[in-house]
Amino acid sequence: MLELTGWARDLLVSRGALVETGPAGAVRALLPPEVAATLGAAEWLSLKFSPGLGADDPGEWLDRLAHLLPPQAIVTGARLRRLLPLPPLDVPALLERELVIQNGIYRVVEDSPGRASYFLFTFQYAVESDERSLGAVTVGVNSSARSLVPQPETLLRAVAADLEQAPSFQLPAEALTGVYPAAARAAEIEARKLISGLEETSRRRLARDTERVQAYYQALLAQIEKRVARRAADPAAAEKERSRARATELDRDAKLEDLRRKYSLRVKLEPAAVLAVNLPVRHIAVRLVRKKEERLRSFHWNAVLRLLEPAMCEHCLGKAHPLFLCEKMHCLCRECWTSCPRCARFFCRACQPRCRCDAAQKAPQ
Amino acid sequence: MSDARKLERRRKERKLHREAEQRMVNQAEAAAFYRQARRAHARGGAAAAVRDAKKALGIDPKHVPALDLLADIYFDAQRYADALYYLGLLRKLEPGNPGWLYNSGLARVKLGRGREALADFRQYLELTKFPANARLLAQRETVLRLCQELEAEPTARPAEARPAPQPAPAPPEPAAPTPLAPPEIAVDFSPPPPPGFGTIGTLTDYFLRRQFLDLKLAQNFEDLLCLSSLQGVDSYVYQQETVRRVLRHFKGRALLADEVGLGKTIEACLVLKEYWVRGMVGKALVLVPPSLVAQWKGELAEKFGFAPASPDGPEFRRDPEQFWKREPLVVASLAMARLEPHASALAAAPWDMVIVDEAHCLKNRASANWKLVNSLQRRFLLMLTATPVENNLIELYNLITLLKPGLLATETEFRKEFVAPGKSKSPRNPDRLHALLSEVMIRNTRAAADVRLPRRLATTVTVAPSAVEAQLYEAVSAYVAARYPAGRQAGARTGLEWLQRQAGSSPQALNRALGRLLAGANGLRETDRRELEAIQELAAQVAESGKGRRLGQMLDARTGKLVVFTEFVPTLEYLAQVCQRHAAPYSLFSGELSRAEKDAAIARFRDEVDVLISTGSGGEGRNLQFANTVVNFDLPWNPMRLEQRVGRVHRIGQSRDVFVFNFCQAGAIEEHLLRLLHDKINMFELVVGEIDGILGNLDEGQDFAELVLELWVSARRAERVGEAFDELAERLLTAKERYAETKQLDEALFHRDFEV
Repeated sequence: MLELTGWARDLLVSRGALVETGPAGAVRALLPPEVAATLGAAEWLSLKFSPGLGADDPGEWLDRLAHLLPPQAIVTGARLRRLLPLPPLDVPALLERELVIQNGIYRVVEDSPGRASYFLFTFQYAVESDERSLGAVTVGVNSSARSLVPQPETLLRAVAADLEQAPSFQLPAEALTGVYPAAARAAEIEARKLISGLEETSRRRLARDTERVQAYYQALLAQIEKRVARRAADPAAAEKERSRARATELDRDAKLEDLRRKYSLRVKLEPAAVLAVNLPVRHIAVRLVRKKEERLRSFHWNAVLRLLEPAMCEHCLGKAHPLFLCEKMHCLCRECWTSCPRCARFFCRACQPRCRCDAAQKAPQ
Repeated sequence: MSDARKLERRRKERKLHREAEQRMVNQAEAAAFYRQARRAHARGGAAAAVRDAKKALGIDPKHVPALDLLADIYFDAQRYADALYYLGLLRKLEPGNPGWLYNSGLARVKLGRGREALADFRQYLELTKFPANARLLAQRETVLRLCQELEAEPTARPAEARPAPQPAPAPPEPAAPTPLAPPEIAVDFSPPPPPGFGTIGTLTDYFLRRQFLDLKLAQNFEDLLCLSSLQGVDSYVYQQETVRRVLRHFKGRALLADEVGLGKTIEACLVLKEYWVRGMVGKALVLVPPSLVAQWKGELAEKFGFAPASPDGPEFRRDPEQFWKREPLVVASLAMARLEPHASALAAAPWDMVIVDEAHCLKNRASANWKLVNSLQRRFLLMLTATPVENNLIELYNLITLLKPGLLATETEFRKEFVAPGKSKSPRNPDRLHALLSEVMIRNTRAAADVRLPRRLATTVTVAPSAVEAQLYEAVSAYVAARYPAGRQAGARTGLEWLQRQAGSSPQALNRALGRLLAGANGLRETDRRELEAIQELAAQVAESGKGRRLGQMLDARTGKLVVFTEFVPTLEYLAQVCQRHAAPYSLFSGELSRAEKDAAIARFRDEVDVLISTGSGGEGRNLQFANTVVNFDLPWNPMRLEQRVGRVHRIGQSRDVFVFNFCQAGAIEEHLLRLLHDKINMFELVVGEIDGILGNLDEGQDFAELVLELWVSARRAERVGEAFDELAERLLTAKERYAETKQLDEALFHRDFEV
């Protein structure tokens, strides 16, 4: 409850209220008229969330106070208060460690210190089955290098204290639109990992309930089977029992379908907030070589995380590490450079969605 | 050998080594589960043993001891078909083992499949021509004997083909149950919305929003989100705990079996609202007895902010099928829903939630009610009944099978395990039954909910009518009686009922109603018109009714606050005049007032005046326990509505005895009704809500008000009104006794084991 109290205090202060915190986590505030109107409260507001007589309902006030925040996802421009120094870097050793190209080679062209434009997206997801769970996931995209930030939460925590509002920040609509699909895809991948526990629980419960229902209907069908056998001498009666068996099977299938529907997970992802910030990086330009083809590509070494950021797969927008190259030098992940199950030829999903042998290929999940 | 080949060979060896290691690990794991299963089996825990044995098979599908154990368990449980399945697997794994053939043969004998059993036994005999020990020798002798018996049976065919005169068609070879692959969970990500990034925010807002998300995520089903959006609902701790248990533990499928008067309806509505607010339910169906449709609609709308639809409006009449598909929340009578084509349309619609009130009407699996509810597609299901068991335990079985098919196994297995022969109402293995029921059932008791209410003391105030009043009432009754049979068929029953009820309320109400009828009804026959005009003339002659004078006397002698109820607005206006004449300040309350006006009226009654005059709508959602005297100036014919009126004053929080004065005119229907409800079945001394249970035992599907009017009309003709109502009273008394027996049975069955 202290967290809610602190948050409520900070929010009210940011809206121009005069706030003091009292004993046992109480918050007292003098609200500006528009804030009071939004909250549906009087000018003087007193809140107490710690348990006890007269405590306010935390759930209700969380929602009411949230009305003071902008209703849609916001884009915030920030910058670092101070320049972070770039440490010296052994680029060849770094690439040797962290750049893995499975079917090609690379040559370092040049490296230089610089800055890159990052977008840190916070997505909220809601998972619904027979219960509802909420979650949040943060993904980061380096729009300059077209790479994914490996540990976005760590990055944010590392720089949060050093951030300040970027003056005269303009909404980078084009850049945002360009990176949003990658961010959404990355968020889906992360969310899928986070809900794997829930998926496993639901699968277990579905298996248990399915077994129960199947055993029940199996026993019913076995009883009907016995009756069919007993009535073998009376075809009409036996046929009646058989049709009862068919109806029972239909009922069973309907119940199993009900269970599948009940336990299926429906996940909704929505962007909640975006932070746009420029951070120091090391630009490393490399020449990627496969057979007779070459391509120049830039990789960024993230000075905050001290990692080489992996490239983005040019088909599925996922993380391409290890990196695969096609004949046209697309950078791909493993799933987008696999062999056709029919003809065993490797082909690039960015060049063509299906193999030339016309096998139906599913896009990587 | 070249380096590449050496490398390849080493790689293969490593792979084989890894696979062998993995197999050993798997075998060890499977063996551990198998040992667990054996221990459980030795302790008598068949379900646990089956579970662990199947786990062992999940790791190592060829684990012979686990297969053997499963076959044994199913054989002992007389599930021979299942035992045969596992024996079949064992025979494939170890074709030379005669034990599997022996057991298969026995299983087939039990299933009545003599020919197949004979085939098994013949194979067994072939394999054991030279028995290695005494046990096998004894087993062989048993098998020989069984073969002889089977060959002697008429259905067993000898090896030499002998054409029977009229061979009956052989039953099809039953397929062994195929193991189904573990079911997969469908995980559907809805496509993320297109980026609508139009708002630039501050850094402070960015972090505040992130913190808000974190705080929001910390909420779970412990915090009921719906409570803040309720209107006029005091939900008690046990009700909120019930809702939490349904949401968190029962996952939305539960039997709410609280004792009468504890608010099962509120609990069900809270569950619905909670799911609705969380976005988990968007389409719900509420199935209730016909007499409760309006009550449920009112509760859902007034207290929970829903806009429920019911199949009695023009949209339904226009296109019933679309109505069931389109409407997000429907309240319908079960009696109507089970009829075609509605039953098929309901079964085709994908409901998120289904609520069934008075669910004891689903106690018979062969009934249309049960089949309807079973056919509905739903994720969540709530069933409400104060009496889950009325006659025998199979009724409970049928209810639970709707919620969780298979929880209580098949009916045969249920009877074997839980029903003592000759004692259909008291269970065998009560502890085990309670353990299973606790997965789906909640039953709060009055003792646990600590619901203690003061007494209700009722008095009937029978007022002798003046000559004109008596003539007026007789004229209305004759009019209604003459037209009732035809009117009922033509759907005009409601109008006739209203006329009769208004006659029992006040001449003012009757006068106004007749005025509207005569002004608007172009389809009236001339004879009807003249008769109604004559009645209207009589009504206009009555300036002050006998009941009004009696109320005036009561107002003069009042010592505390009074709530005066009436069904009709003209009567309400008349009562206001009575209050004015007797200098009794009052507050008026009716359904026509806005919410703010209603609040003001109640506040005025609480703080300023002694008398509240209210129409029936004041009965819903308003707590008036600061008063303790109720005057029913007229009587609703549905006892539940009467109880609702009194319940606004007689409820949790009332500390004084509640006095109820029921006014009626001598010779009117209301006098007979009061004699029946008050004198015969002591309705006002019953526990709140019990009258509903009694009426449920009386008749199924017929509205009580309709029953009363039919009785009145038919008995008047035969001039035996008193006797007819006495007969109805007898039926009600029988229903009351049956209800009392049911209540005792449920108390003995469930004790207090299912409270939250």
